[in-house]
Amino acid sequence: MNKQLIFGSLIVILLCFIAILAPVISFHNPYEQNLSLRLKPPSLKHPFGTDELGKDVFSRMVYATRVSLSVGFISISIAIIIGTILGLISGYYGGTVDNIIMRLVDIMLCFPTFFLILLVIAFVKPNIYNIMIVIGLTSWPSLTRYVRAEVLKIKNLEFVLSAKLAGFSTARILFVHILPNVLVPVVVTFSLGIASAILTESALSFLGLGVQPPEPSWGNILTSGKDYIYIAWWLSLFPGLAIFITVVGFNLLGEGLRIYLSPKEK
Amino acid sequence: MCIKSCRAKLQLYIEVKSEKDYNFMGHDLVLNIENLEVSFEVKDIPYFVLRSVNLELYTKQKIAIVGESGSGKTTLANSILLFNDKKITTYFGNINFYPIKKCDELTHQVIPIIFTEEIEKEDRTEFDIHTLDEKFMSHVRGFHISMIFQDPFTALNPVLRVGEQVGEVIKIHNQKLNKKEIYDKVIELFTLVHLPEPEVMYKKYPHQLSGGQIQRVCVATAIANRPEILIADEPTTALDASLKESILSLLSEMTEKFDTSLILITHDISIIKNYVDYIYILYAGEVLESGPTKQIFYNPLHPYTQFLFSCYVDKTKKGQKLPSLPYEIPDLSDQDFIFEKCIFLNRCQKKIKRCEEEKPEVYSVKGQKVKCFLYEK
Repeated sequence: MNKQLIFGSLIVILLCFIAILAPVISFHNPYEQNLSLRLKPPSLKHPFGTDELGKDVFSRMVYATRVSLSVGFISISIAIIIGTILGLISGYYGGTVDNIIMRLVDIMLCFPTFFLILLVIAFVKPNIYNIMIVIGLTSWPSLTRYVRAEVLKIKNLEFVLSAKLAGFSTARILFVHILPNVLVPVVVTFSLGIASAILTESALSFLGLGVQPPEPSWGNILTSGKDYIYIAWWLSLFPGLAIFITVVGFNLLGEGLRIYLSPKEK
Repeated sequence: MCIKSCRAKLQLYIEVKSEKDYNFMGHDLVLNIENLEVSFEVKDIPYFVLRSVNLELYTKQKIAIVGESGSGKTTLANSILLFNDKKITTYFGNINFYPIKKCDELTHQVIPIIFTEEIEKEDRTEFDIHTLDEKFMSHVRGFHISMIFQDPFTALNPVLRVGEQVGEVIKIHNQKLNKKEIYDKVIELFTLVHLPEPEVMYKKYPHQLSGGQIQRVCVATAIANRPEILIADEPTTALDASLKESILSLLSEMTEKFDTSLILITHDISIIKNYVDYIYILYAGEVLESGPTKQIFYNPLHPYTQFLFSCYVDKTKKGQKLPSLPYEIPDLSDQDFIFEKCIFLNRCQKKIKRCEEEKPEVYSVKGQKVKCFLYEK
């Protein structure tokens, strides 16, 4: 176990707890407005202060953890499923199939992903589910390449040949014999991908194209903060820190896993 | 199982042979290769990797295919399983397989794995090659014919327990068995191949086993479904000298026990003497000599075989230099050479003028078959 892995997993576990226990931790209703308490600085009653409508920032951020984590997990799960299956097929069959899938990957990688997402969001309704799907559908290509490379490495090893010779079906060979051997890049990409998905979601919300208020999200708390940055620094600082810590946590976890799972480090 | 879906297609080829066709020296014929030609097309150039190979295999018979690197040993083994790269391979000739397993509906029918059919068309004869389709072949593979590979260290999946891997092979061909029955079968197999503490072995991962133990697990996998034919592709090459003998004796023990026939592929003629009944000497895709082991060892006829035995290290050659042949294996895409002249021509020390003019036939000398003009009657 290395330091990155321990530190990263601690942060991630903490975040998961916050998300699960959101109603217990937050002692205010995140949707409740109180105009008499507009833009109050941090105090004991409101640890992170209040926003321009008098809503408690701390409670909103705790609930926003749920949004961020679920966007991260679900969108990357979509990407992992697509990326792994295409990578397996591409690496295993080779030839024309491989060519088609790899050119598709090249095309996907050519687009600046963020602008592709912006373009799609311009046409569909910006809500949390669409965001998940769009992020998922745009972040699989690099994983496909990783998986394909791993499959190419092991598909000519004798245990794959003997599996073929034992009369196993292609699907069985792919998912029972090859998949467990290519899981390392998948697991690492999962963790690193969550970090970038959370960043993307925050950025979209910041631009007003992601999670729509009054639904809380770190990104849209930041947006409201930018108008009052000279008089209410807490509106920008705390969501920014939250995004920072989360992304660092998932990146450390991914990096730690990569080191932990690579055979050379053992 | 896939037999049923393939039945209709297979019916076209099946011809039931009479009882006497099978028997030879009290044993049944299980595999008959007639005039097999295999060529690979790489960048539009055809390479004739195997030419007019004839081979017969009977139940419980153990044969060895001996040859140097590039002589087509592995291609021959792969052809029996139709396992050569489909895109580049062209077959010609017949490979007939005669299943004898009692439990199978196909017993005593001919399964032509590769099958050439003559078609007469306006005064000329053409040939049509059929090969068995992949679905049916996956039933034959592992159930009727199984194979052991050279390198034990990549032969098992590193992320699955060895017992599960063996069990999987049993399960795929016997869908009715439940988990407990399969576990018992695997333990029984591990005991048969002399693995210590089979219950402990079942739960181990391949990296926890030694090379010899892994090769024993591979043997267990190969005999799991009691196949008619066991093909061992250089099973001892990657092993220590001390382990070679024990793996070979294990293979030969298994063939005795399960009425299996063994095809042993090797480049090392010195180690097989006590383990096989019949030897085929393969050189550049042609069988130059074949015969019972004892005769080949005591009276090698073909100059190439004689040369192979002169490389055999023993006490009498102490201090002497081992012989080596000039030149290399001929270019297998050079049709003028390989179809018109003796294939061993440029390296032969006993060549006569005739060797350059035509190709020698196969001559029978006291049970040995040899492809050399020196033995023409």
